[in-house]
Formats: sequence, structure tokens, C-alpha cells
Amino acid sequence: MRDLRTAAGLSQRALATRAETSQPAIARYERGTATPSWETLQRLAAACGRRLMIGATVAPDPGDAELTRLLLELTPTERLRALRRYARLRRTVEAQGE
Amino acid sequence: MTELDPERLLRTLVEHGVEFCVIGAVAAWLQGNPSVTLDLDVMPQRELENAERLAAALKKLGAKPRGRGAALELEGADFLGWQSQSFDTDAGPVDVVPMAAGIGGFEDVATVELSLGDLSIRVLTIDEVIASKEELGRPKDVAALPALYATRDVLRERRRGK
Repeated sequence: MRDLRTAAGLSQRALATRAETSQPAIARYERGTATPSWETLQRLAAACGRRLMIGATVAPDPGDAELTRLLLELTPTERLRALRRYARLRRTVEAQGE
Repeated sequence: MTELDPERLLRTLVEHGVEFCVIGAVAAWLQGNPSVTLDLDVMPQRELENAERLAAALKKLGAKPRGRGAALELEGADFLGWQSQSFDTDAGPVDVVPMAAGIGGFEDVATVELSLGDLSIRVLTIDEVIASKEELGRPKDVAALPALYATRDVLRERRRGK
């Protein structure tokens, strides 16, 4: 919700006014200490110029999150060089499989 | 197919003054996404002088259209259309992608700047990589999404200081 609000260039107070709720409520939603109703969510999205939809999609993979954290411990240069090593390794493994 | 040497590819593009951003799996990898790729996708600015610099950089890299052995005399005008083109080079495979599904061209996309040693490279944001993969919707794009979502969530956590 914070991402939507900031992308719309709105303060919590401005969003609250547009969505007919209160600034403290917005703060609680963004902190995750309160959960808005579906109707409130629709108003909040509309106030940010968005339309709320329900859908099902693939879920983030916890293992990939852990690998991401490890990769982010490297500098971008180290990541670039690691990519070359991994690409070489993958090609070797694929070649052995042929 | 020659082995991917992304540092050499990027350095050659930068040294030729090419305006471009890195997109696709290398862009995601550089931001922490752990899916390995074997080629580099770049999105160049579509403007004649830049296209000529791109053609010169690819010539320097010995670029040949993928799947065809014949060398070709690349010209700037070859990169003014909207068609993606794939090349094998001395430093590995390169795809030149002027327009990506769902996100547009060089002037439209959101990027972040990364310092790679003495190189400064613009890289498509994770959100844009995801948007493009979602729009493409091919099986290989959908298969890449769980890892990309995980990376996006980790980057958001870090921005919020968690």
C-alpha cells in the first residue's frame, strides 16, 4: 500500500481524505497492524488511481529469497563475475549431459 | 556458441559510447536474482548516432547473427527498427531488444544505475523485469516469476531497512 501511495505522490493524510478514512488508519495499514476491509481497500486503490483486482499467481520462492540475500552480499562487480563463472559451469554441465 | 563474458560485452558497449540499458535475466541477476542466464539482453536508445555506435561495438565484438555463420557488415540503420536481433559474439550471445513486451523502449523503462568497477551501467528495475515477463507469459517467463518475486520482496525489505 505504501508503494501505491508513494507512486501516486500522496501523503498519508491526502490519501485518507480521498479514500474517506483517517491518516492513523492508513498508518496502521502500512505498518501491518490493522487490516482494511475489501471495500476500504477498493477506495484506497481508487484514490491512488488504481483498480483493485483479485487474482492468483505464482508465489515467491523462499529458497530464492535466501539466494538473493546471499548474492546481495556481493558487490555488483562480483555478481557480474560470478555470473560468468556460473554460466561457464552450466555450459559444462549441459555439455556433459549431451 | 561462445561463452558469456558479460563484463567484456558491457565494457565494449560503454567504450563505444552506446546509450543502452541491460534488461532481462542479467538485469535481474545484477540485482540479486539467482537465475543464471547464458546471454545478455540490451535495450539501446533508438537514435541513428547511437545505433551507429552500437553497430561499431558489435563489429568490434565480431558479432554474427545467431544461427548463421556468415559475418555481416553491421550499420547503424540495422538498429533503427523495433525488431529484436540476436547475435553471437566473441564474448558470448547478445540480444538487442529495442522494445520489450509490456514496458516499451529505452525512453519508457525504469532503470537503476549500478557501478561495476569503473563502469556505470543502467539496468532495468526488478519491477520492470517482472512486468515484462508477466506480459510475455511464455512458459519460460512464468517459470522465472517465483524467483523474481522473491528478489523483488527482498529488495523491498532492504529499502525499508528490515
